[in-house]
Amino acid sequence: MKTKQLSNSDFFISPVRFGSSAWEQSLAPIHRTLELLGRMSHTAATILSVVLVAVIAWFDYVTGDLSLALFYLVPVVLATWNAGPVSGWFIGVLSAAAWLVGDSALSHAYGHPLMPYWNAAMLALIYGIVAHLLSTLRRLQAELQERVERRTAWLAEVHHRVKNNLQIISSLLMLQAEKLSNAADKAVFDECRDRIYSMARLHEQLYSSGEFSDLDFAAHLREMAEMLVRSHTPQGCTLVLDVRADPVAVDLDTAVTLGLIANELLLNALKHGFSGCPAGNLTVELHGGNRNQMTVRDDGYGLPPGFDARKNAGLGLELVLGMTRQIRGEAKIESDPAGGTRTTIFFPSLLSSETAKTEPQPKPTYYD
Amino acid sequence: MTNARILIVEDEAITVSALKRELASLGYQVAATASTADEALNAVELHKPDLVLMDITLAGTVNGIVAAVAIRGNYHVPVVFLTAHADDGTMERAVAAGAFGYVLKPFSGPGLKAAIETALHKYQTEIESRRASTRAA
Repeated sequence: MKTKQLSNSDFFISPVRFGSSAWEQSLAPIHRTLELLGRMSHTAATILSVVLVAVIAWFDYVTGDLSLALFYLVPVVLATWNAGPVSGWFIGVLSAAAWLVGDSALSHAYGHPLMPYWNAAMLALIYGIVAHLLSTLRRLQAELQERVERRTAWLAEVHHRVKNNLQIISSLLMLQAEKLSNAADKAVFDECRDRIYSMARLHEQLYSSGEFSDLDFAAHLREMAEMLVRSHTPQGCTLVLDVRADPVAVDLDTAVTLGLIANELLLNALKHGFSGCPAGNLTVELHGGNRNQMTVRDDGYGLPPGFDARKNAGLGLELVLGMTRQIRGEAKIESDPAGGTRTTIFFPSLLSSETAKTEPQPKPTYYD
Repeated sequence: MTNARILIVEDEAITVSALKRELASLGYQVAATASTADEALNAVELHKPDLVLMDITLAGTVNGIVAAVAIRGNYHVPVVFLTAHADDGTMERAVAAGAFGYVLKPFSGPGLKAAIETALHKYQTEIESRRASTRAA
């Protein structure tokens, strides 16, 4: 069979849309109305504006001395937004003329016979200025939107490339590990790949959510815990994972570090907590507040007697303590009264961490 | 379905090497590898794989989604996307291209196996239901 020539029909990255903040949500009805107006054809908008001018002029005449000059801005805005500044100016002049006709019919007494014409000319000028300003605003809004969409697409592409590079690093580690004969050495490479996997998932969550600065850590923590339990549960052990995670917003830097901390704690529990146990429970908790806290608890063997985190820290624990300091947090490692080990990481909330950047870092405390 | 023959379509040589080893360790055979859409089409015709593992961003001018549509249309081979793209737009296009599944980069062994087995099972079910409806007609 002869293969046919192919071509790309379009680019594969769609720009991610913003619009999740409370402020943007409150403006949503206005945006929807403007979108509806934007879809109306130029001719339809101009005709509708002319009809509105006629209706307002009729009310203006019926209500007599009560001035409705301000209401002519509605058709002016409609025509400008949808059909451009020329239509806006046209409707503005028409509105002023309609006002003049109604005013003449009511036979108002003026000090000079040209006064009504002067007033109508002033109205036409005001309507024209509004039309000009609005059309400028619309052009700037369109330019801004295009720029935001372009940058959003670029940012998504950057995250995509980061993930691709993480894939290459992970692949290299896998290929290098093949040359090792010792299972313990290979496990070290596997751990590195798990850490890379954790970071890659954060990038994925960031650009798929469309929020490039902050993200909800709960979803990431849950996915990571499930993935690690699936791949690292000791043979012959039936493990029950319980994840109780509240939504906690963190910035990317904190998320990456916190993800690596969670990765170390979970791997540590899976590697050392249940070896030889027929069953076990692993609990992961995440709670928000003025001070967020993440807890990893297992009911396995627990800490050895006289364990001191400062003296007995292996590489994993050393990394946990270092990274906890990095996010201005505190680590509490203790034997659980019910058996097993409980590690809690306290870290500042997103709001307080913004202000804490200028403050001196607290020293972490250790318990055993 | 272990022993399934898989075509890898990926333009990163290091990722291809890692994939070959990972697939072998999971019990699959690598039928061939390709780095462009045209190579992929030729390889499908030549090697008749059971499944194609397709990257979305490929060398050359044609991306993996377009190649997947051609493979599905001309050869009726299930395609699983292997991609670093996780945004909704890409996923929608992958589904529209008739994807039987996707694996996000960086891949893990269990994730890769789950996606491949699900795709092969889904494809088998699709063939059987098509045969049943032909017989009924």
